[in-house]
Amino acid sequence: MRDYLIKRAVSALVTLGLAIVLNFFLFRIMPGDPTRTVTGDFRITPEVRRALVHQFGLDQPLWVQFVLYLQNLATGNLGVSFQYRGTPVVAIIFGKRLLNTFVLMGSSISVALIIGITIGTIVAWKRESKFDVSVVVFSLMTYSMPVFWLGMMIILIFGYYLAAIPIAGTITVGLTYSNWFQYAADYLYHMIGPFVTLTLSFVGFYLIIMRDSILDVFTEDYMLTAKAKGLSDRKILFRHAMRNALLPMVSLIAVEVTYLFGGATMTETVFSWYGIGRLIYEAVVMADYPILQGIFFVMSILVIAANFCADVAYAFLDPRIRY
Amino acid sequence: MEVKEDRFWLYRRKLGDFWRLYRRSRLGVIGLIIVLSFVIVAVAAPWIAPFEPFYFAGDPLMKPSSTFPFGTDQVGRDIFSRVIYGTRVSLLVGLIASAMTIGLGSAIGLVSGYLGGWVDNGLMRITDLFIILPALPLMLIMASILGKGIMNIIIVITVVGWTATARMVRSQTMSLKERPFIEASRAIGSTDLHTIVRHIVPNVFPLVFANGMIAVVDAILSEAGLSFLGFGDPSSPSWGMVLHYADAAGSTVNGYWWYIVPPGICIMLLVMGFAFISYSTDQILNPRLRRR
Amino acid sequence: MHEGIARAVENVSFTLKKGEMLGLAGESGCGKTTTALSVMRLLPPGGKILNGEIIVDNEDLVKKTDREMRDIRWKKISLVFQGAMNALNPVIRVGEQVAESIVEKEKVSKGEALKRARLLFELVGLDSSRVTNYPHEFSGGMRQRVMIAMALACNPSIVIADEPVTALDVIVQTRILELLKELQRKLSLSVVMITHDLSVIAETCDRVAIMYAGKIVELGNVVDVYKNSRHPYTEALITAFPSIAGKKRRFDSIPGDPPDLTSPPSGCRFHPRCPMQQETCRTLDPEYLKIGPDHYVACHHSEKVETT
Repeated sequence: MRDYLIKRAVSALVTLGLAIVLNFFLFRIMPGDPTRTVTGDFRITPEVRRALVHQFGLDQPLWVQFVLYLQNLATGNLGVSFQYRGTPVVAIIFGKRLLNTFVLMGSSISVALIIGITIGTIVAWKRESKFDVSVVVFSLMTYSMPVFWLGMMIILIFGYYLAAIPIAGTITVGLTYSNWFQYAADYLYHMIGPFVTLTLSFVGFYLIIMRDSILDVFTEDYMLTAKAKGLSDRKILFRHAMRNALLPMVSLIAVEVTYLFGGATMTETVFSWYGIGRLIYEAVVMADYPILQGIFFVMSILVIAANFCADVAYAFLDPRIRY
Repeated sequence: MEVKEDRFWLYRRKLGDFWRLYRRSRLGVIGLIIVLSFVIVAVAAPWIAPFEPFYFAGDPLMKPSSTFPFGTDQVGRDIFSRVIYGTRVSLLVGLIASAMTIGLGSAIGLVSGYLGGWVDNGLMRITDLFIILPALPLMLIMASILGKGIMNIIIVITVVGWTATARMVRSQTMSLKERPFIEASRAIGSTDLHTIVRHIVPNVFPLVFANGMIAVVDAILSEAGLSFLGFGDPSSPSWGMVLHYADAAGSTVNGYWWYIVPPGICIMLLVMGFAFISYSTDQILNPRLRRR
Repeated sequence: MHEGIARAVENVSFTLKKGEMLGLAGESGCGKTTTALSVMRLLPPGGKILNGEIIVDNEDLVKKTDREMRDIRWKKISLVFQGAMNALNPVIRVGEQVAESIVEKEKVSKGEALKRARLLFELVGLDSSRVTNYPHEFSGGMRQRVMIAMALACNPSIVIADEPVTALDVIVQTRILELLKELQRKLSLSVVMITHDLSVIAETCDRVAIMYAGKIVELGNVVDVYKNSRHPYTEALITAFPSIAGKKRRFDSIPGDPPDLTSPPSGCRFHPRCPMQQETCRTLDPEYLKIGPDHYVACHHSEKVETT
């Protein structure tokens, strides 16, 4: 197992290296003049422009810029935002925003996984039954809905018509809290809409994948052995089938992680949730390259880390690798 | 001459077998009907839609009525007509983008899998990189670089989406490469290109086709997402763009449900149609699945 | 590929005596495994027992409910599969796989069951400390021993072994067969040995039933059937195996292929491949007749079969 993990770790590091390099070049090829964005496109004299260019180090040869970039990266300096006049990028990202996205995405993925895996297993057992068909159709429907539309519908139905959930934001603006519980309650109240949206959009996929995986496992010989041993249905399903079916799931989910950020971006935008998904959108619209570069970098790290965690999880789950 | 004809009949027979099996799958047939219905709507749009999509037909934000089945948008255009014309864009982008995606992915997968060695290593590193990059942010950035326009959206979707097909085609090619008939083909002196085209491609094609249906799903949803965020082409409104304008008009907070519901349901139905087709095709073409 | 109902097993009837080993022989696809699965009511979805009886301890298994069958499985009858490659669950330790049926059926604690699993391991010639290993850590022969240990966990009276040694090399084969024979004696098991390999049957079984295309064509004492075959198919099978001690002669393989069971040949199912086929063979299905004290045959020409 150690060899396996070492190999995967090295692979992750190499990919990280490539991501760092790509990150650098990607934003150098973006069109537009950064000096324009910073100064709000006011007419500036050539001297001022030269000074700005020099300040941003854009007059240096490319490789020097690259070295500067790496140095900055090593000290945790991701640059300074264009639109938020001088605020360091790390402060913007690692302030509340990253945490908010984590809370939202983390809870949605967890709940969606749990529901998807358990119900996926159960419907695989009751294949072709009414329950199975309705669950599968429901999953396909939520999978086919664009995330942002689902969010809009939830706002419309529960926010507008039923006035049950807030329409936007992470917390109620202008409200003061007397204790932490009040704050948490308000926060969670605002999270209901985006949480339900994201969970619903993820759960269909997980459910169908798990169902497929279990049906695959059913064709294996050891399932016949389990049945021949006269074990109870529940034991056969959850002890013998599920554990094997989870293995391919882990790999599949790892690959899907990048799409999760897309879902988060959409949801955060629709619900005005103060997270990094929405930050991306804002940064693209405002051409705030430092922020984009920073988020890109952070997201790449997160995805690489998530993939590596999935590799580790797989190593633990599959005894053929462990021993 | 005879060999070519035989191959034609072979493919015809295989297609016939496939169709026979496909017909039996309820989901597959429903999916096909759904997709074909949308295609018909798209083709017949000028005859079906009561108004031109950019025509200011009535007062802004009118509720649905007999003249305007889906009501009007904030500048008075008929939403029903816009949705009908939107079918064209969504379908077109979906199909072209997915075709290019699996085309590019297959090409890279074939080359990588067949040649192996350094070429394979290099291409796989690049593929890994693209897989790691977060999809939507990358799309947004590229869209902002390239600007608005249908072709740009298609390019963006292709650049982000080719990796899945590439990986799959590569592993298929690598396992096919070991088979005896490939060795035989090389032994009689066929060039690599000839071997690839004549022997590997036909065997890889079924899986690529099934994968292609999923690519259509991804393409349609990606286009809808990009358009909603404002990167679509205002001159050819897709369903995503209609929703973008719906959001801009504050439909959710003002209760303009007729603006939100129809385009979204259309997206959902079209995607479901392709998802059903993909599912049924997968069941038939993937021999492992048949055992179940 | 045809579609239709395949009558996988037709008119198969045999008795398993206590403490004996009965061989069930035939080519692939002749219905041996289907017969075995039917006995345990383990047919895959799409398979059905149309009619018949399976009497164990004076009870008809065909009439049992699923619940009752579940109790009977592994307690009265157990199964040893071939290619224990995949028959053992790769993510569960082998000791637990052996123990779980004990826990489930005899309501003992897991610790107690694992202790018994260790004893079973020793019984089949495995190191008892290996109960904590996973299936992939064993070689093919050892995995087969695990399967045997597992099959004996709840002290069944009947064991059905479906091609238990087919996937193993010859030396390991012999050891496993010896083990099976020894266990059978020690535990007074009644065993059905299913295989296409007649030499395996010759080494281990007391009686044998030869199956072809879903029917039993000959059944009897091993010595009788081998030395005094009364069915052309049996005869052909036996001559297909060279004997080291015998004369040098040409290999005789049986021409043709086994029939498609969705549309089997008319009359005697073997007639298209039979060197002795005649008009009656093509039209009339031969009766299953008793031709000796413990010797049955289904052939129109059983008297005329020559033995070498």
